[in-house]
Amino acid sequence: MVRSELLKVKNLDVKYEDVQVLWNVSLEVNEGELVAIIGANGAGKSTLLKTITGLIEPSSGEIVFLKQKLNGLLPHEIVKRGLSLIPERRELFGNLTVYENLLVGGYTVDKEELEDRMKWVYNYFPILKERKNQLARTLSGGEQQMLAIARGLMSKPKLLMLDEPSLGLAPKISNEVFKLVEKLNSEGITILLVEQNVKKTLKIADRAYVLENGKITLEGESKQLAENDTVKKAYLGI
Amino acid sequence: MLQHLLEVAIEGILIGGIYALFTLGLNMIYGVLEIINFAHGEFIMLGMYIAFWLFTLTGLHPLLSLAIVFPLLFFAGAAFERVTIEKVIKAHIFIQTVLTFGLLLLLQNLAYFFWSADYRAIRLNFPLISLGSLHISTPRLIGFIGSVVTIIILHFFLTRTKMGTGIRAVDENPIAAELVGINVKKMRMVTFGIGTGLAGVAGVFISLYYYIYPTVGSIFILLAFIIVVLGGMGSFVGSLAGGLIIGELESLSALFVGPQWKEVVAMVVFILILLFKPTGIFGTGGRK
Repeated sequence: MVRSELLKVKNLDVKYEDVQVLWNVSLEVNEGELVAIIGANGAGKSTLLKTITGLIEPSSGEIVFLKQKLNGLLPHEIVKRGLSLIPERRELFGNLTVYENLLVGGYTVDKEELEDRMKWVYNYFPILKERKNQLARTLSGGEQQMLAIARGLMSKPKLLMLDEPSLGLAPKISNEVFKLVEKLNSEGITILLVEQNVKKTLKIADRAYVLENGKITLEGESKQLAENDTVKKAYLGI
Repeated sequence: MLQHLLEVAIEGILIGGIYALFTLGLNMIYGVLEIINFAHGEFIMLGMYIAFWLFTLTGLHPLLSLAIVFPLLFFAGAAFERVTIEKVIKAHIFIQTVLTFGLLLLLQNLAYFFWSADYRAIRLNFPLISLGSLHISTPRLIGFIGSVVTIIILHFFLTRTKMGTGIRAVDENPIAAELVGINVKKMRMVTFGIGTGLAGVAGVFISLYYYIYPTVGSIFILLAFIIVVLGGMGSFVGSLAGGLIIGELESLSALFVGPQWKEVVAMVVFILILLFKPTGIFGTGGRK
């Protein structure tokens, strides 16, 4: 099956002041795929996602989404085109209720569609419906991560990007998050996942890129990468 | 004596409500833009002058001039934000301070230039309201009721409308707000406009009972700073409670210590809060 191309990143260079953090990064995500970016702390994974969503401006290179260039657009314009980032450490609106967080998540959605979208999200996350009038900051860590994902889904993204969704969660809850990501993907949502938990990530992803010191050093099918000696030594501890 | 004390206490609550109104404007601007608008008092002054001139030249009742003052100062504030503040939104706090302080000087001097240093007043006869043997200042009562109504409308806007919820989201976390699709730049412009508009509305209410002159805003900006610090930076409830407390304090200290001391008393309270509860009554001590 030939899948159509959703996101294409071409020769991306990113600098913070004078320090270059991404070097000539290229990657692509096709419709329906679950693609992972793995790598150690400080490899530039979050920077890459932030650049794709428009929070950081690249010094050179191109980001193409649905055949249109995203370079120079602001994040809120990029969200409208169907790209949603669930940021590292969740970044919820702590003093807004669960319901208000979701409402704001659907800021770009028409009023008529908003109700349906809310129902769809509550169906996925019944716990959020139960807690809809609670302030977001009073939720547990796992619930907060669920809310962050739910908020990111409110805008009906064509591509959902998750930055370290398992960070700081107990193993059991982290497993639930991975299951959820897999489930969302199996229902047709294209996903770009950034993770440090390489083992679990390679189990659910179709393909993966390995980012090391700002450069992509390996790429391929998850199964092949899981067998790769370098990956085994560096990330799987085998 | 008791009757006089009661009258003074009631007056404190009435002016406190008006203080809460303009402080909310300053606090909203601080919350969403993270800048301190030193020119906030000048927007109060502009509201007072607009009410005065409309009344003097056309006979328009000050309360009706609200329909002109709010939109006018909203657009003036929004335009100023877009053209100048937006350019320094990521700059050092010192540069931002120079900008809004510069606006303060500019507006004060324009007021001197066009309207001279004369003290002016809106001379309207209000019927005296009496509760039994208690006399209540009608202009202050009107200002208080008007402020309460405005605050209720503001609260409704912030909690029940899409844009209001968006503004609160930006206040909480501007980056996350941008990531969910909110045009944060636009929200900053709108919030600044609302803040200056509210200052103007408060100015109209104050003009019902207070003299109007070019530097009148400096009294109120000082009070607003004290109220923000007392109630807590970025706290809606804090501005309300702080406004009432400072209004009450001002009234009572004028009675017990002497009117010329009321600002000294307010400043002493300000320093005490900074010493013992720097985050204010409802403050969380900075959000980031």
